[in-house]
Amino acid sequence: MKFINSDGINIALRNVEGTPRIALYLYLSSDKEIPSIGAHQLLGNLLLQGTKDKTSEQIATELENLGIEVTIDSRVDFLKVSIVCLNEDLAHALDLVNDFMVNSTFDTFDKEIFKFKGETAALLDSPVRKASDIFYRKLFSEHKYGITNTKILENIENLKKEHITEHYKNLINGCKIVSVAGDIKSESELINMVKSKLDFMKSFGVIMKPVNYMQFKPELFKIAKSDAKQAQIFQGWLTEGINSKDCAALNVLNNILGASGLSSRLFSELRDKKGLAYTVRSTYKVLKDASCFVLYIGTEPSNIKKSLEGFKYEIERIIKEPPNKDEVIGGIENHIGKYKYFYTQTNSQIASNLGWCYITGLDFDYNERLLEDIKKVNQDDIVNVCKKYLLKEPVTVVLAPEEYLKF
Amino acid sequence: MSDIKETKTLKYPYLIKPVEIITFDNGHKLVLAKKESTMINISTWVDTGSINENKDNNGVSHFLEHLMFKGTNTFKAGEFDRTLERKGGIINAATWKDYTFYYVTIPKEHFDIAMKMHSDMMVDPILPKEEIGPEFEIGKEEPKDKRERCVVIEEIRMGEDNSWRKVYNQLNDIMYEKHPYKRNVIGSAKIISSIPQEEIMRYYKSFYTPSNMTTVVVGDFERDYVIKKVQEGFKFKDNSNVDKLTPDDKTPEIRIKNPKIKVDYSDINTGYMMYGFLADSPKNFKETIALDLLTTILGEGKSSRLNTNLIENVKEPYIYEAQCSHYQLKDGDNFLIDINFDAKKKEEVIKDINRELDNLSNITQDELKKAKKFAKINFAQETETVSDIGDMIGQFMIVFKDLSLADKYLEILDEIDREYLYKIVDKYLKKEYASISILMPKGEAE
Repeated sequence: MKFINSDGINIALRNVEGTPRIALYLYLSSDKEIPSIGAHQLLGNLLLQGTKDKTSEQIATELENLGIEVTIDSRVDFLKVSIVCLNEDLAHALDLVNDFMVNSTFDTFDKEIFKFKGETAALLDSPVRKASDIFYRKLFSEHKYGITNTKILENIENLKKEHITEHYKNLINGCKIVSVAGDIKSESELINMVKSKLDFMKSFGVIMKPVNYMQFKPELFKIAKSDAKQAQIFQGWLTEGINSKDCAALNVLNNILGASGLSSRLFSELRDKKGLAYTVRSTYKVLKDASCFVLYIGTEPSNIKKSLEGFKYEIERIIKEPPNKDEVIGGIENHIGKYKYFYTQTNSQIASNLGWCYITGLDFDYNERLLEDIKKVNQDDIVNVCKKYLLKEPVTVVLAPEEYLKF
Repeated sequence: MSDIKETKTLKYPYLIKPVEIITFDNGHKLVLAKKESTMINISTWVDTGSINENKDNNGVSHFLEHLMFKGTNTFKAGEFDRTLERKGGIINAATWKDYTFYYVTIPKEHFDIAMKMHSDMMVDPILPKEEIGPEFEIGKEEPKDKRERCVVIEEIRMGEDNSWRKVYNQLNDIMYEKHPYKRNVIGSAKIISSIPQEEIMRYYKSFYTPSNMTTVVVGDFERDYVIKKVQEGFKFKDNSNVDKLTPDDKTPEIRIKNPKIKVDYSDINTGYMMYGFLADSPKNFKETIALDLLTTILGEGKSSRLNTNLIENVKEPYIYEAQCSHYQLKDGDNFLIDINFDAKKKEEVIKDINRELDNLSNITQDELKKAKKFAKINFAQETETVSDIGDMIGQFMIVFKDLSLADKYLEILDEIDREYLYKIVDKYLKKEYASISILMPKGEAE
């Protein structure tokens, strides 16, 4: 891996020989406050909706005629533009990307608002997505990570086109990086291409280091949905995250408790032995300024109480019956395998990860260092993080038909 | 141990080295595909799925897939998952109409144990009753000992909360007259709660035969060593004396006999609609590629006709999502159009889709060129990881019954012109040929 700053553009490169498709990611972030709730998400939607000279249809046609995949993802901490194309189409792809990134007019703002309302209504038809939206909104109730689709929808009438323009300028004047993975025959040629075609990616300012936001209000929140066949239960806590010394142990705890696939404790106890669910898992979600540990189960509504008791029991069991040596090693090895599987196999995974490290304020070898820390995790570390975070009162959201919510 | 009966090598798109197909004398096939990677993918594809079920055992293929993980005479229930996941393996299985497959993707240094446990699971499952759980009557009694039956019933419930799944299941029911494709792969809670262990084992013995299985290994490996480990591991039992199950009538249906519109209602905010068309078997390879191209032109990507004409170029769009998909199935393809829309505009949506179907009689050269590029890129994408390659090979082996077609795909693609696409539209995609499944919010009930 190589990092270069050339004429103000940050570029991270990894050469992967013999691969037909190259992945190039743009990450943009700003330390300025988002002008209005929803501006960040809407900006992401609007960037492919038309420029001074082209309609959205023309942009889409030009990209897709060459099979160039462009995705814009408005994550809370950054805007990510991913470009994946055949190696020979990269120059053309960057011309097209430059056009929509520099010349977007945002003239279809009103239509996008209209579409957003419809799409969100559709999204909330899914009980699990509805429960998840409300859960993260509650868990991060005082933080920008709690700006979920339902919250945006409630504030959508206050959103103006000027907010989009202002936020766009903030991002263009903010901190950025271009990350690339693919069969790079000539590094200098690639760097010159990026400089000439992506001049707007010059970076300004410095990335703020991650902080640990830890404030949340425990709550049990119930959502009624009349004909839901399953109850959706989310339960979680904020934890120290990305740069915390607890991060390694929390990752291993997560694998042991509920993220290792078919053999975690939650899976084995609540699914295999008690038949309560098809899906039951834990997630350790690491964001830049806050992280959270979340348990989820989808279960027949009459099982709500049993499931919540099961969560509690399994958390307490981590302390009463700490994972033995095999379980700890398994949790570690599982993490290493998943890392290889999800982060190192494709050019897209590699480029995405390089850019993410930089924009999150981490070193490029963050993941490798984390893996080294994870290898050192022992039983005591796991028990300690479990005690430290998961014995607190959680935020719990339960969605089910009303008659099952009287508890 | 079975001996090698035949070996064949063939070129595979975007892979540097040829792929090898080995057939053992018992009929079991092994496909070896070399790819530089730190991971290795092992999968076994069984040539059975809901296509081999009847109305009384519908869902048994999928239920069996769950139960295959419940132990063998060598490894107890849970040992497979625990051992391989603790070595960084990603393991799972899936059941479809035409096939069931089981896979392990694991760091390559753990190949030996992965192949040993995977092969053992395939040839010696014991389906223990205590893991299946007691039979019970759904809705009347609640079993105290909830085991895998209840897990599958939870999976069925999960699907019932998914609007797209609901509308898709309803569509299958109205597309087919008799063919087993009519039924849901997952089956019903009524059957799953009561099917006896013996019937599940009978299904296993009927269809999990050596000649019905194809094992695929993708990654960086030593050929002869892998063959030896497969021979050592896949020691099939003789099930020839079993009273084998006979599937229902599988006469292919390649045109919907009685196109219907069916509407159901649910506690949702928006409307869901699916148009479904039937087509010939994918063995008719040029036709199936043409349907891939039509899928792209009509409904894949932001520049597709449905997205452009019904969403992006509309001032106040009442369609939120519109896309096409093409399922290649052994007994005949499905071409589907999915639409999520403002429920108050149901009639307008039907008119819009019908108009777009009529307009397929006019395709531009640029649209065809774009669709061909898409198809090539999709192929390149499917060779990026060992798991993707394994999946693609498995599907070619089971659905197409001919892996050499993978390499011919790109060649035949180039032969297709607009005139040929018009023929296919005329043959399969006229609006009169479609069945339409709709799910509406309860408040919109007529």
